[in-house]
Amino acid sequence: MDAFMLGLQTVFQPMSFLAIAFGVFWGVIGGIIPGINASVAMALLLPFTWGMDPTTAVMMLAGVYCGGEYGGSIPAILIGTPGTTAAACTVMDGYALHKKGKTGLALGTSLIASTFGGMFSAIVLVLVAIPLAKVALSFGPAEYFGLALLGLTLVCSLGGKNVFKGLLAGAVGVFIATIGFDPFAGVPRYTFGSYDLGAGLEMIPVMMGLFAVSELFVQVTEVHAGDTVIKSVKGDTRFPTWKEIRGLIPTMGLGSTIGVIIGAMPGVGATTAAFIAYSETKRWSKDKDSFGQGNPKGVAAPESANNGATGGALVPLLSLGIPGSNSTAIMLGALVIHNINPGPLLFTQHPEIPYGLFTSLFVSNFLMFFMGLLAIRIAIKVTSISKPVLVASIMALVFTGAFAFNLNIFDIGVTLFFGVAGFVMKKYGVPHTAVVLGFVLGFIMEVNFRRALIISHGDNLHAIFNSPLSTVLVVIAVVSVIATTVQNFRKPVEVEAAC
Amino acid sequence: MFSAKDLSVGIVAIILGIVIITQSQGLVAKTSLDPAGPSALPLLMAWAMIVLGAIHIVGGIVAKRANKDAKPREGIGAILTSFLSRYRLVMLVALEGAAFIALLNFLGYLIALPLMTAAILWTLGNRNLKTLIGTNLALTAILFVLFHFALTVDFPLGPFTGLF
Repeated sequence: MDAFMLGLQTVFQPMSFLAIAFGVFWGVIGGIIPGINASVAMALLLPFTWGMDPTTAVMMLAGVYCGGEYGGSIPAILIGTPGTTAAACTVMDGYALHKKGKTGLALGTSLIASTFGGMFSAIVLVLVAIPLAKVALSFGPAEYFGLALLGLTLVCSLGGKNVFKGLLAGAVGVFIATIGFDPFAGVPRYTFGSYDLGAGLEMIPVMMGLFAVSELFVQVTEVHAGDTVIKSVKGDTRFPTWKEIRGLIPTMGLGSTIGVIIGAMPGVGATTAAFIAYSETKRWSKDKDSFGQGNPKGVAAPESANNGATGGALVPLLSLGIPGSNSTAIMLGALVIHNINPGPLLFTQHPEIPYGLFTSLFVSNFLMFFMGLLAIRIAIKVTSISKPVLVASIMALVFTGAFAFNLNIFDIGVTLFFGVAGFVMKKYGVPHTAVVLGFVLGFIMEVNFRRALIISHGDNLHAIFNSPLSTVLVVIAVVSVIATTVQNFRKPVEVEAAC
Repeated sequence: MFSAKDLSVGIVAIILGIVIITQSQGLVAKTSLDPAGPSALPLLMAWAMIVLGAIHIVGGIVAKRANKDAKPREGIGAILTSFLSRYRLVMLVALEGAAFIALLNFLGYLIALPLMTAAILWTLGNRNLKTLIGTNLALTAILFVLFHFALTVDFPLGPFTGLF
């Protein structure tokens, strides 16, 4: 209890509080800008933490982390462009809700779910930091492979009327993830002699192309001959009612739990958490058909999961000194430049840091709610801009964001290429979201399957069914694929328009 | 479940699968240290694409036969005219994007970006000179200040190199 009082005292010092507030503000802004995710926003602030007290520095970065994970959902809902990769899943139902005119419901659900997920993960972090780290670290390659496979089963239902289109798009996504230098053999794969392709395709340009640029092309086709203005969506800015929020609590609970657990696993991250939370919410929903067409649960699940992952990712960092994600690696960097090594000794040698961080997560999520409200009020005005201006502005923003990510013109080309590909896929009813899902999970699946094979000395069966947990995950994935395929044959789901 | 359009989807999927298989030929074989090898998963995906492509081709042919009476066949000229009239604007916007990429290093961000956005606005029917100039100047200024000064992104500046 004394330690928590120490945490509270640290957080409510004027400088610390201002640093957290600035961190959340910076994170929300970074999240809104395509190409700048939470870890990039944190990295940009890292040089400024040198002159700060280490506790204040880490608390400010935690604020950026929370704000960044939330901010990505605002452009995902308003313009169909995820500001961060973790918000990619939010596009499916968030943008569909906006197109139906229910903008306030989508933005409100995203804000409430993000705050819920963040608060939930902060509580879990306080209660189970050390035991959860042990569970997460018991995951071996076979379990990670099973988890990625389970996430990939979502591609079956993304195909809408045609389950095979979802599978085809998922296969293309997994293949795209393998382009570049092989992580094991170190040889270039499918680069066609291109130096730029050697490093593989980055997630941000691929996602911005498939989601944002393809949607811009769709908007362009909607310009009727002679019309100078594309018909804009008249959005209802009404936030969800208490009754609607109450109905979303189980979804947010499930999403947050998945977010915390997956966030605590090193190297998996908020994007995977969001996709798995969406997939599981849909799987257990009685109203599966409405997903992808503007179901608020399709916004609440990924948003609570990606913010739930923030607290989860801090678990291995604080308890074992292992960063679970890029963002926590930056926090580790901020501590190391102050000659502080995270790990179990941190709780005894510098208790103000972990307990200050615990408390700052609650404060960050509280501040995020109010800053989110403000950001929504400003961002919602985007819908009242004339569509040609909006198309040109988004194109400029997306291309600038794609370049800013790696300072590489090639990435803008990748964005344009996937924009055209996404547009063609939309015209042929191939779900581009399944490509993104395959791309996100393909790398995790391949690396862990090959690691599992090395451990099992090439025995395929032993590699996959190496533990009860991996067996359960793989069996659920296989049963799920069969069940979804059979279900789609009996009753095709119309989700193409939304995806 | 299938439509006549799926014939094209199937053909593209099979071509992509064959390209992946061909490109996998030169990759190193699996070893005892790496029992799967670098081409295992891509090859699995390639075969999946070929099988799924074949399913789409069969489905597409069946759907085409079922709809044979519903829609008379159009000549290649009519298809091309219809395609160009529907997607002319998309192709123009995509070309403007490609031109921006090609000219970015040479002209620099401060010239290439307003040129691209002006071209897009013009293509989409905006002929108001005030809107064109105002939007482009404001947009370029906001993005440049945000990314260059606040986020320290080094853009290629072309003739303005060394000014900022």
